[in-house]
Amino acid sequence: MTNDMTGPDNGRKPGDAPDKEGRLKAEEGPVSAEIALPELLAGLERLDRAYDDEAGPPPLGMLQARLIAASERHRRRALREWLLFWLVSLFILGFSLLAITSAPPVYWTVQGLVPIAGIIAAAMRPGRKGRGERR
Amino acid sequence: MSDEELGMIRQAQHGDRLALAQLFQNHYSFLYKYLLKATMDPQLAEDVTQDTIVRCMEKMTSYNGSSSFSSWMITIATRLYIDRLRRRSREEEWIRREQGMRSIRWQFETKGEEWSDVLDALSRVSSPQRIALLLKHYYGYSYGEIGKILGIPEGTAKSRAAYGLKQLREEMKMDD
Amino acid sequence: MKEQSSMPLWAWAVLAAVLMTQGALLFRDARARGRWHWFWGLWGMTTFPLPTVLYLLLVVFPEHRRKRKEIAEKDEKIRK
Repeated sequence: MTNDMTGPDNGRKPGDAPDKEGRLKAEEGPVSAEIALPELLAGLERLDRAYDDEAGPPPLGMLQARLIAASERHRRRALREWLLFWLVSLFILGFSLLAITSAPPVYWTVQGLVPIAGIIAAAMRPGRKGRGERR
Repeated sequence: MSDEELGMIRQAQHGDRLALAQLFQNHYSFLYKYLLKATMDPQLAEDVTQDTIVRCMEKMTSYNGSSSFSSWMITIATRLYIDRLRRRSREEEWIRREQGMRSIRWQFETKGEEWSDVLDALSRVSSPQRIALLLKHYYGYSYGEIGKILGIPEGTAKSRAAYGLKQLREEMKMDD
Repeated sequence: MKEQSSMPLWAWAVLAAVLMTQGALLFRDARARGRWHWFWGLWGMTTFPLPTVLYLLLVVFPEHRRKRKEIAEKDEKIRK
């Protein structure tokens, strides 16, 4: 199957369809549209042509084998992480139960600090990984 | 998005490996060609393509159809590429750029394709600007969509694309 | 959670079970969403029910709302 889906969304979704020339002229105006852009588009077309063979998709069986190998790796990694999580958790659980009984002030101080630390960490690392929604 | 593709996505999300492989096969060329232009380095484009396919598989269940499947793949591919760039020093990047351009030139020669200086100039535009430039002017995304893909505000996407175009023009002037 | 060393043993067992369940669930869900799963999981092992409440408030609910907004936007696009 040589199904070369060129263009985002195979040109089916209005918002995403690449409609190069049209949009470009509408938004760029006469000043900036000079020579650079048409030349760039032509150059990129040529680049696409030169790499047509390389861009051909690998056979389905090969892709499938690759996916299976990757998901196996992924599964094993997730399992290891899960085990590590339980190991650490049991320690933490033990400590916190111990803290509630023998040193409540320490326990509640830590409990107060955790959300604060979380908020500080989220603020320091804005973007995708923030705790809660940062965007 | 076609119904056929939508069906394939549903199947893939429910663990059908064949549908998944088929889906990636259909989008492979598009993804590779995008990465080739974004990286201007065939080897790197190939590597990131592989990484992207694996990552897309892992995140398959979180694809919700709010953007087209190819836009979603491009988003993941772009993030992976930027991550790789971050781990690299300036010198390394320069060396890789030279290697990439040499192999592209060589490919042009073997395919009998006429060389275009604009590609040289494009490879010298810094990567974030180059990506924004491509997404805007080659792929025709809106600035809002580009912002979503790059994880940046719309205004930043706009200024990056504009700056990229300016850089490209300056590089082209220097070639003359 | 009150600091009572006079709590019967079964209450401790229940508390530990609740914490373990909470921590494990938070860890799994946050990992699937790719949002700080170690933080939520481990904190979920230490107290109840604050982590769950905050997790719902800061992660689950905003994501839910954003999804609804995206769907609404898509509908808008289709209608046009």
